[in-house]
Order: sequence, then structure tokens, then C-alpha cells
Amino acid sequence: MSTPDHDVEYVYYDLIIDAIKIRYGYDFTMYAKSSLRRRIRDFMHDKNIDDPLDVIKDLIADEAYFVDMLGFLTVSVTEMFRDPDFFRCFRSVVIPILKTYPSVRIWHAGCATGEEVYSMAILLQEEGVLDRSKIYATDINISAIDHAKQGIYNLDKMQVFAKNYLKAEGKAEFSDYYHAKYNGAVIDSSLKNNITFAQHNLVTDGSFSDFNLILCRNVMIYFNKDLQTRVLQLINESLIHYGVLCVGKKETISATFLESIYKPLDSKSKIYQKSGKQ
Amino acid sequence: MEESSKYDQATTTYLLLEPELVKSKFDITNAELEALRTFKEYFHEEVVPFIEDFYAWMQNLPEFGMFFTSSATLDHVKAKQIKYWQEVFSAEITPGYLKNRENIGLVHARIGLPLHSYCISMNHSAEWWKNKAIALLKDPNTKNPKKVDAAYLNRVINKLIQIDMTVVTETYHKSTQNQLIKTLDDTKQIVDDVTKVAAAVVNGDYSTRLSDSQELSRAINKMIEALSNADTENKRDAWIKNGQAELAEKLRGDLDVAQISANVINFLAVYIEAQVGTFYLLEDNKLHLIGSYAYRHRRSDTVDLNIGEGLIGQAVLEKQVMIVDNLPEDYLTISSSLGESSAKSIIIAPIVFEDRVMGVLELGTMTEFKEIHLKFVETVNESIAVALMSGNNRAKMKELLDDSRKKSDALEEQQQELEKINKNLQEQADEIRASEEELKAQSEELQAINEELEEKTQALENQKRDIEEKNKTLEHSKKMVQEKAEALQKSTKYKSEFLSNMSHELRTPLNSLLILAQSLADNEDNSLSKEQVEKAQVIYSSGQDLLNLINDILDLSKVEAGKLQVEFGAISPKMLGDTVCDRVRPLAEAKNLNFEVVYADDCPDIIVTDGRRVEQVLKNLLSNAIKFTDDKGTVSLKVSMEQDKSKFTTPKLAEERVLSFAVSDTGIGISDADQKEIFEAFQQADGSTNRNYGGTGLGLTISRQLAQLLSGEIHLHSELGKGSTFTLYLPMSSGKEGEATVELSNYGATQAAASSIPSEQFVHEATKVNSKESAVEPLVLIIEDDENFRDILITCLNERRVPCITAATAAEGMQLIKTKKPTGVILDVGLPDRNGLDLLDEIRMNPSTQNVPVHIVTGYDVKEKSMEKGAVGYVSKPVKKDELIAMLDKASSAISEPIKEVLIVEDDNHQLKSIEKLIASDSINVTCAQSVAQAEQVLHEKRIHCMVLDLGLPDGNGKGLLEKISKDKDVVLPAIIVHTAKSLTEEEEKELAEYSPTIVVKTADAPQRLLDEVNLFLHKISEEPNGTSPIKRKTLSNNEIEGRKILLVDDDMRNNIALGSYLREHGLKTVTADNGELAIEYLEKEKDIDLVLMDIMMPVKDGYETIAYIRKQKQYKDLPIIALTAKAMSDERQKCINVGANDYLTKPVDLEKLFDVMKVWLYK
Repeated sequence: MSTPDHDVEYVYYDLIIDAIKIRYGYDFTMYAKSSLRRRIRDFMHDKNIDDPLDVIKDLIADEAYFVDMLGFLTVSVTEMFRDPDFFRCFRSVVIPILKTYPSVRIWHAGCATGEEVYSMAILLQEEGVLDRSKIYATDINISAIDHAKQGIYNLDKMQVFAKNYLKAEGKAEFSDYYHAKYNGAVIDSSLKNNITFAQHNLVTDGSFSDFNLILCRNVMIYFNKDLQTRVLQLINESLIHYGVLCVGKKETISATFLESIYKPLDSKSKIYQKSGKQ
Repeated sequence: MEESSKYDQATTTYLLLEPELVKSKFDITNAELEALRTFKEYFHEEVVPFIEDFYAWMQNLPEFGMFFTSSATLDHVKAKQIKYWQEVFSAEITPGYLKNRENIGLVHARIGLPLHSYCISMNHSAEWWKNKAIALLKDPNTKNPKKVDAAYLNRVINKLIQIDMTVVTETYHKSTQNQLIKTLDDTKQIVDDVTKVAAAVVNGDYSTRLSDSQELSRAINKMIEALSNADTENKRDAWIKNGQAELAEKLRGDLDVAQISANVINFLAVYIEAQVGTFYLLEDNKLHLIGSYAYRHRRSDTVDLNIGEGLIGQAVLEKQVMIVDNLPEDYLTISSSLGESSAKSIIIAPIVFEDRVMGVLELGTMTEFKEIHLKFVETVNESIAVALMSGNNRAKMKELLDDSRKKSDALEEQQQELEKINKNLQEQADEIRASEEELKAQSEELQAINEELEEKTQALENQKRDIEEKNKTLEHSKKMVQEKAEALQKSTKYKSEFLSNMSHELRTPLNSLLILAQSLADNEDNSLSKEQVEKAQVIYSSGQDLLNLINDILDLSKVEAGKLQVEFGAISPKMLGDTVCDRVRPLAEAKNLNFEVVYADDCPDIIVTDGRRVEQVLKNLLSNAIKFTDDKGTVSLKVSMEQDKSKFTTPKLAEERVLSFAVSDTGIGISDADQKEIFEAFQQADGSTNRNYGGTGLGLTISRQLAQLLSGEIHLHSELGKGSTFTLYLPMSSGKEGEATVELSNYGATQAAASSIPSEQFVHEATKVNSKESAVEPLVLIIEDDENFRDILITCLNERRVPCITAATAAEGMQLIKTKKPTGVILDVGLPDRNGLDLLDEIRMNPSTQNVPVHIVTGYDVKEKSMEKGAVGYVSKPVKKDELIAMLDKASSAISEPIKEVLIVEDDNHQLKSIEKLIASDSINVTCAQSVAQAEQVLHEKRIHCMVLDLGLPDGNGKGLLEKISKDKDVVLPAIIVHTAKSLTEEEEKELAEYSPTIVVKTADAPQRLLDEVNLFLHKISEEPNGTSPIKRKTLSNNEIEGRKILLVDDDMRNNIALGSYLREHGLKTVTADNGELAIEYLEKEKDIDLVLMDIMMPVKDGYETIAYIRKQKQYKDLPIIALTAKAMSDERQKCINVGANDYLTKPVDLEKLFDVMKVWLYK
């Protein structure tokens, strides 16, 4: 069957989304449509599938198939210490604030395969704050969470990570934080102690605690405006007064209801502090 | 021969010489001999042929050549033999015969003929003769007398031959033996001699020789000689070899050419016994002196020689060693410290290596050079050459090695460079890879964003459309409003025109009326009755009233049209007061009222304002007072300075000193409800109100407007039945003297129109409409059913000039809260219809009323509950006066800034002070405590809203304090912020969390957070300013240092002027001096200088001195002095501080910084 024309195609994609929602409960209806479509297309291309209807059939029938697809739909490219300027800025701007608290609770919302979580753990350790921190890392995708929990990454990627780490003004040697095993680099277990990985769906689930720091980076760009608002509300509920919120480089809280409540600590690095009225 | 015969004789046996014995031995008879003799002739004839045959046969024998070398000898021997055989066949054995045989033996022995050869030949001969005999006998011719046979004959011959053989043999043996013995003796002798000689030779003595008689001796002599020669030869060789070895030793190692040459020449000279020597090296076809031995340069400039030049040069060409002997005396001198001599010979030896000349040696000696020296030199030539070669090679190698090392270093460097570059490239490649990844990720994100943007754009467009529509509507409305405003303006204009026309119309008949009424009242011709005069008077006064009314209306309309002229001038309040009072006095007297005028002591002489208008207002107020006061009441005017400026809203009143004109009466008073109303503009006035208070009701409105024009205010305090006081407040200077017209366009019709529509305000989703809350006048609501107490409260509030309203029930109170929006509520708990606390709850619940601060005054003991419910104050009955006052003060103070109490508990003094400085503000009152005990005390003394608590205190633990006060009923637990350097465990944190969820760890950023948290607690409801900037130094708003006097000291007046004008622009006052002396003078003259800016570099008396001098005076001990210096060195700062400056700034002065610094030091 030849590729259907645009509009028809879009209907199929919507059907796929609905199928997922009905069958597995994952609600992607509020995700940004075009990026979602693109990801479905990528998935089909990767699996050499022409007909979207086949996708529907297979994903309904086979959960493993869906889990595979979930990877395409949710996980994005990431590195450790990605966007080193952010980490550098974080060190000078946020760490002093964290240090005024005897204990620190941190939430990585949408942590994917955990690179950012471990990067942050390394940074916190170097700044002497890890011990007093409790880190919660959540993502919608369970296999991503499992991957993150293991903390094993491709050894050849470590070089790139190390470069990023240096640019982020790391204080030690990047290789101190992992040891090589076969073809993988295993993150040092001392970094994992204070981290709790869990599955959490930003679309459907609610706030589960109060945090001093919430990181939700490069997650919301895939959501539509309503979902973004919802997520921001959730984040706002979960953040204490004068708590810190970090979003991705390409994201912003301007033109959202948060703008009046949060003041930017560093607008370039998208680090904000909750300082206004509720 | 003689010798041998001697020996022979000694040893010859008897047998051989004795014939008879021989005959018997060999058994030969005479008969036999006889027989043989018969044939003698025959045999003698055969002898010669026998000999010839014999020699022919003998020639075949190998021994023949040995013995018969010459023919002479042969002939001789042949002859002898012939004779011999003849003898044999003579057959006579005589002693002589035997003797001959003996001789033969001896001869044979002597010549050394081997016996067996003799025997062979004899056998052969015997055979021949046998044959001959046979042949003979066969021959018939032969005479055979005895008739013998051949056998018999041969037997005889054989016997004779045997005899010969035996004799010969024996003799031979003996002779040989003798010879042997002799030889042995000789040999022995020789051996002895040889032994001796050998011993000598072994000892190295080659001189001995044997006597050369013997061959052996000769041979041995030769040998000795040979040995001797060999020995000499060996010695020579050894010397040469030794020399070579030694030289080789000296040339061993890693020597350079110079060292080699030196070693060579030194060694050689010594070894070959030369006393002087030179060594030239051939370099670049030139001979260069490289070494020498005991050589003194005779001519120092001929160190280098060319090839072919001199013998040395020649040697190079010839490549041969030369010896030059017999040198002339003056050729070469060999000298030592003791003497000198001329050299006899020199050796010149070119050092050649593979046919290449490397150098030339020259050695000289006083004696002569021997062959061996020459040989030696020749021998070592090669070694030297090789050594030089090696030296050269080594040198070359070293060069090459260095070269190659350099090159290899360079290569290494390059390699490193390359490695670096490679690394860089790799890094770049990695970066590129990373960037690629990043790009990939980013492109994904960008795509997502794009999509988002698209959606947003769509949304925006929709919004835009909506906005455009709304704008259109707004435009329309605006247009409408404008039209309305215009219409209004027009109507106002018409109105005023109308009024002015009307006034004219009205005044005209009025005028007549008044004049006529007046004249009637005067009754000059007494034509009228008393009654009629009275009536006329009434007409007159009514007319007058009417006139006034008309005037007032006109004025009012003028004021509202914004056209009222105000003229400022310096007026004497006293005069003004008197003038007005004079005018109204009669009215008061007419009503039998007490009329008083009081001028307070602090009443000033001059006030700048519009006297006419003030008069108008005062007249109006006084008239009203008189009007509404009954018989026997009192009306008074009191003029004084007003101190309490808190109640004013007009800026000028707040800034300047205020004069108050208080018109009081003991009249009927005005109810609270009406108080507000009576000031309303006549447009909105309730007609009935006016009528109630009489015709001049308008006057109040006008008065109010006028007061505003004069930058003043009119306040009213009144109580029903008790009286009223209208007070006009004026600033000391309403405006600039002589200023004529004040066109106040804010006022008038446009004012009303403008306030309801926000201009140019398009609806925008994201923007906030920043509407500044207009300053609210304090208004206190008293909800108290006890009349008496209520009265007391009212009185107190009145004294404070705080407007108040009252309610006697909860319901009424609630109603009033909603409608009147009081700024403070005093609430009794025991109300008739409801418990005050319930009401409090309701107030708190209701969003529109929850902001009102409520103070509880009650006889019940409900403090805790009250505070829990959110009361801001609590006073229990019976109330003490000061408590009451405090509460009322609190209640009446402006809502926007209720004072919050903060307690800081910190034992470290420094930290305590800095936190205090940080937190203190206009709305925060800070109390400090340095111990648990102190803190407890404070908490008991007053209500604390927020407490900053350090955990480590000298008399206990902060947590202990928390536990204590939480149990203490008298203390209301404030909001707590724990501020500690201690690192807390999770347990400790949890425990503390019971009392306080806010814990701030003392770090560098803690102060900011502390401030934030304090603010958060205290301003839970009020809005927070956006972007709170970190407060680094407590600074003042500009307003607070306005008016201060600054002394500028700088020798460059331009600086003073520039700085001065800048300061003045910001409202500061300045005094300038251009030198230190002057500065001190001015300080003393102008007593109110607040701060000094002192330039350091000044002539005569420089800044340091001046500062020091100033500081010496007690009165200037605390005067802030800021040094301005062009020097930027760090010790300069210290110098300034040391000499007494409070701070310093470098020139050129950063004006903003200057201001900041000044603000700090001007803060009191």
C-alpha cells in the first residue's frame, strides 16, 4: 500500500495515539503533534513499516512492540553535562542557595536515560552538597528508567562526556566517576546512593513532594501548550518558596503564568527562582 | 793415519796378524796353497779383466757413486785392487799379506764403506773367480801339475777370500770401534763444550764459541751466532713492540686529535730518545702545529706550513720517513735549564694512512738516531695514523652526532608539534562529533520548538484579532468618552458662562435690593418703626446671604472650571486671623456665643500662601461654626504648628512644616455618616444635606477645593451633640512668592472624566496593569457595644485626628467593614448579637475583608484564640491607657505598612548587628537578644511576629528555647526561621521542623535568603516587588538625604562647582571651600554640615592635615568625612582612614558611587 496522503496520514497517527491511550493508558494526545508524528514516522522507518495501520495492529497485540515504540516516542538524544554552560552557571548561581538549606530535595522530571541526573550528582558531590541531597529522577518510560538506574553507558561516548565535563568546570577527572567494564562505562555507585529512580507520568500524575530544586529540561518542548501549563502547575506546586527551577536552553517560562512568580537567576541558562506570590 | 793406527795397534787381535794361527783357523794347508800357486800366472792374467768386470758390476751398486767420485781416485783404487788380487793368487799368507788385509779394513772403516757392500762385492768376486777356476780347469791348456779339480781349487780360493774377509771385517770392526770410541770421546768433549756454551747462551751470553775443529762445534758456533743474532733481533722487535704497545695504550680511549698528537709526540720523543719534537697536522692542505715536545717557537708566525714547504712540507709529498744527520750547529738547539746543545740529527716522519698524509712528526736528538729508532717510527706510523684517523673520525662523528642529535631533537619537537596538532585535530574531530550530536539533538528540539512556535503564532494571531476587536471597541468607547468629556466641558463652560451672566443678572437687582434695604435699615429719617427697621435688616441680611451664595457658587464653578486664580504672597497668619475674626465676631456676638482666638507660641510670622483664599476658607468655617453652635456655646480659632504629619496625604504637607487653623465649636456636631458626605462636590450633594445645614453648605466644598489649591487640607473632627472642629492645614510655603496663576488642569471636569477610563490601555494577556493603590486615609472602625468605652475610643481617636466610625453590633460592624473599608478595626468580643471571635473568623474568611487588621479588646481571656484567628493585636479589659494608645496607634496607622516585630536571637554580636541592619526597614521593628534568657524576656514583653533563631546560644540551645516557649501560654509563638552554622542531622532537622519549616544554613548567601524568608513571613499577602535586588549596603531612598548639607573641599573650584551642582540637583545643600583653612572656618560657621567631601591634594593645608584637624575637635568627632584622592595606591586608602576619614573615593569620582557612599554615611 502506498503512503497515504497527508491528511489521511495524520488521521492514522491520531489513531495510533488513541490506540496507545486506550490500550496502555499512556496519553500522548497533549504532546506537540508535529514532533510526535515525526517520531512515529522515524519508528516506522526504523522498523521498515509502510502502513501505519500495521503499527496499530502490532502495538495493540504486542506489548513489547509498544515498549519499543515508546522509546521512539519519548526518549531523546542526550549526553552527560550536555550544555556545559548550564552546569557552569548552576555551580555559581544555584549551589550557594542550596548550601543555605540543611537538606536539599531535588527532582529531575523527565530524566530519560539518566545522563543529566548523574551529571548533576557529580556536580553536587564536587560542591559538597550531594550528601545532604535527596534526588528523585522520574520519567514516563520505564525502560529508560531502568537504563538510568543501571548507570551504564557506551564507553566511546565517555570521551564526549569528558569534554563536556571539562567545559562545565568539573573539579576532578571525569574518569574518576566511572570504571570501564567490557565495552561499557559503569557510573560509580557512590553517585547512585542518593538517587531514587521512579516512573512518573507528567501528563497524568500529580505532585509527590516538595522540592528545593526541580529540573525539567528539554521535556516540555514536546508538549502542547495546555500540557505545558499543566506541567508547570505541577512543578509550581512541587517547589518550595525560593526554590529553583531549571528548564532547557530552548525553553522559557515567559508568556506563562509562572513569569510573574518566578524571577530569573540566570536568564541565559534558564534558571529561575520562585519568589513571587502564588 | 797415525792417530788411527795408534788406535789400531791397541786393539788388533793376535789372530789376524799371525799366519799360522790364521791357517789353522781357516783350515788352509800349505798344500792347498801350493796347489793354488801353480795356477798363479793364470790367475794373475785374469786379475785385470776381473777388475774391469768388477767395476762394471759395481757401478750398479748405489754405494759406488758415494766413494768413487773422481776418476783419479778410481784409478788409484783400481791399481790397489790389482795389487791385492795378485797378492791373493800368490797364495802366500805372510804377516805382510795379513797386514795389507788389515789396512784394507782400516781403509774401509775410515772411508765408511758399509761392510755389507764389501761382503757383497767379495761374494761376487768369489763367484767370478769360481767360475774362472772352473773355466780354467776345463781348459785343456792349463797346466795342472797337481791335478786338482775345480772344486778343490775353489775351496782354496774361498778360503783365502774368507781369510781376507775375516781380517778385513775384524779390522773394520775394530777400526770402527776405535773410531766410535774416539768419536764418543770427541763427542763427549763437544757435548761438554756445548753444554757450557748452551748454559752461557741460556744466560744470554752469545759471545762464547766452541773451537771450530769439529763440524758440530762449528755448527754449534753458527747456531750460537744465529741465536745471538736472533736474540738481538728479538730484543729489537720487543723494544719496537713494547713501544707500539705503550703508544697504543696512550692512544687508547676517546681522545681528540690534539690529545692524540700530544700523547704521540711526548711518547715518541721519550721513547726514541729525542729531546725535541713537533707534530704537524695536515688540515685543509696546510700543516698546522698541533703538538710539541720541549719546543720553543723560534718564529711564532710560521706555525702553519704549506705542503712542500721545508722538510716537513716535503715529507708530506714524499710520504717517506727521513733522517737528517750531521745537522749544522745552529740548526736546532736542545736546551734545558742547565745548559744547551745543538741537535745532531732529526727524524721527519710523515704520518700516512692509506696513502694519505695526515701529519708530520719531527724529532730531534743530540745524539744520533739509530736504525731501530727509525724502524720504530716507521712501525708506529700506522698506529698514529690510525689513531689520528680515529681521532678525526671521532671528532667528525661527534659533530655528526651532535648534528644528528640536534636534528633528532628538532625532529622530536616537530613530532611533538605534530602530535599536538594531531591531538588538536582529534579533539576538534571529537568536538565536531559532539557538535554533530548536539546539532542532531538541537535540530530535534528546534523542530519541536518550530512546531510549538507555529501553534503559538496561530494562537497569537487569534489573540491579535481579538485584541484588534477589543481595541476597536476601546477606540469607540474612548471616542464616546471624549465626546462626553467635550460635551461636559462644553456644558461646564456654558454653565460658567451662564453663571457669570446670571451673576451679573442676579447681582444687578440684588444690588438695588441691598442698597435699598440698607438705607431702610439705616432709617435715617426715622420714618420706619422698629419692626419695619428690623424687617429691613432681615431683608438686608438675606440679600447679603444671597449675594454671598451667588459669589460662592461662582467661585465654586470657577474652581471647578479650573480657572481660579491663586496668588501667593507672604502673609502674617496673625493678621489674617484677626481680619477674619473681626468680620465674624459680630455674628458670634449676635448669637451670644463665646468667641476665642488663640495664637500658639510656635505660630510663625510669615506664611507664603494666598491670603484672600485663606480668609475665604476661614470665614466659611467660622461662619459655619457660628451657625451650628447654639446659644452659650463657644467658637474658637486656634492657630498653631501641626506636628503630627502622619495624617496628611498631600505631599507638601508631609514635606514642609504645617500651620493649622483650627475652627472649633461646641455645636450640634456631625454624624459620622454625614461627615464624608458634606465635603462632596455640589454636583453630587444631596440637596437635603445642604438645606439642613443652611445656605452656606456649598462653602465647605469650596473651602476644600481652595485648601487643595493651596496645597493644604481640611480635616474634620466632629461628634454628634458635642461639637466639631474644622482644621485648615497649610504648608509654610504653598508656592513661590508672586506666582500668579496656577492653572490646575487636573482639577475640574476632566478630573471626573479621566478617572474612570484607563487611557491607551489595550488588553494584553501577559502584561499586568500596575495600578498603584492610592493612599488610603486611615479610618478606624470601632465595633463595641459598650457606649462608654466606645466614647473613650472615639475621643482618643479624635485626639489623634483619626477618623473613626462605630458599630454596636457584629452585623453592623461587618456591614461597615464591607462598605466603608476601614483601615483598622477595633473589635470587642462580647457583642450582643454574636461572639466577636466568630466575627473575626468571618472577616478572615471573606476575601474582601480578610486584609483588615483587627485588634481585639475584650474582658474575656481569649488571647491565644484571638491571635490564632489572626488578630493583629490584643488588649484585655480593663485597658490601661498606654496600652490603649498603643493599640490605637497601631490600628490607625496606614495599612500599607503595619509595623512587624522581628526578634533576632544571636549571640555573636557582629552577626547580630549585620542581620539587624539587613532586616530593619520602615515596616519592621527589630529587637535583639543574645541569649535564651534575653529572648524569653522579649517574647514575654511583646508580640513578636517573626523570630530569627541561632541554635548555639551561651545559656542553652535554640531548640530548647523553642520547646520552652511553645509550652508557654503567655507567649504567642512567632514564625520561626532557624539560622545556624551547625550542620544538622536528619533527626535534628525533623525535630526542628516541628516548630519551624524554615532553616537557613549560615553561608555566604544566607543573608539574602534570610531576608527573603523574613519578608515572606511578614508580607504573606502584600505583593512582592519584582526582581528583588540583593541589598548589599543599607541605603536610603533619595528622599531621606534630601536637604542635607554637604561641605565640598577642593582647591580646584571647577570641581567644586561641578560636584556641587550635581549634589544640588539631587536636593542636597552645598557649601564649598577651596582650601583647608576655609573648610574649617565654614565648618564652624555653618553649624549644620552633615558630611564633608575632602580633596586630599591641596596646597597650604592638605586634606590629611585638614581631616586630622577636624577630627581633633570633639564636636566633629562623628562628622562623616569622605576623602577624594587621585591616588589609587592601596596604602593611600589606609592613610586616609588612619587620619580620620570615614571612607575614600578615587578621582575621577564616579558620581553614582559617590552618592551611594554618601547615603551610607548620612544614614542615621
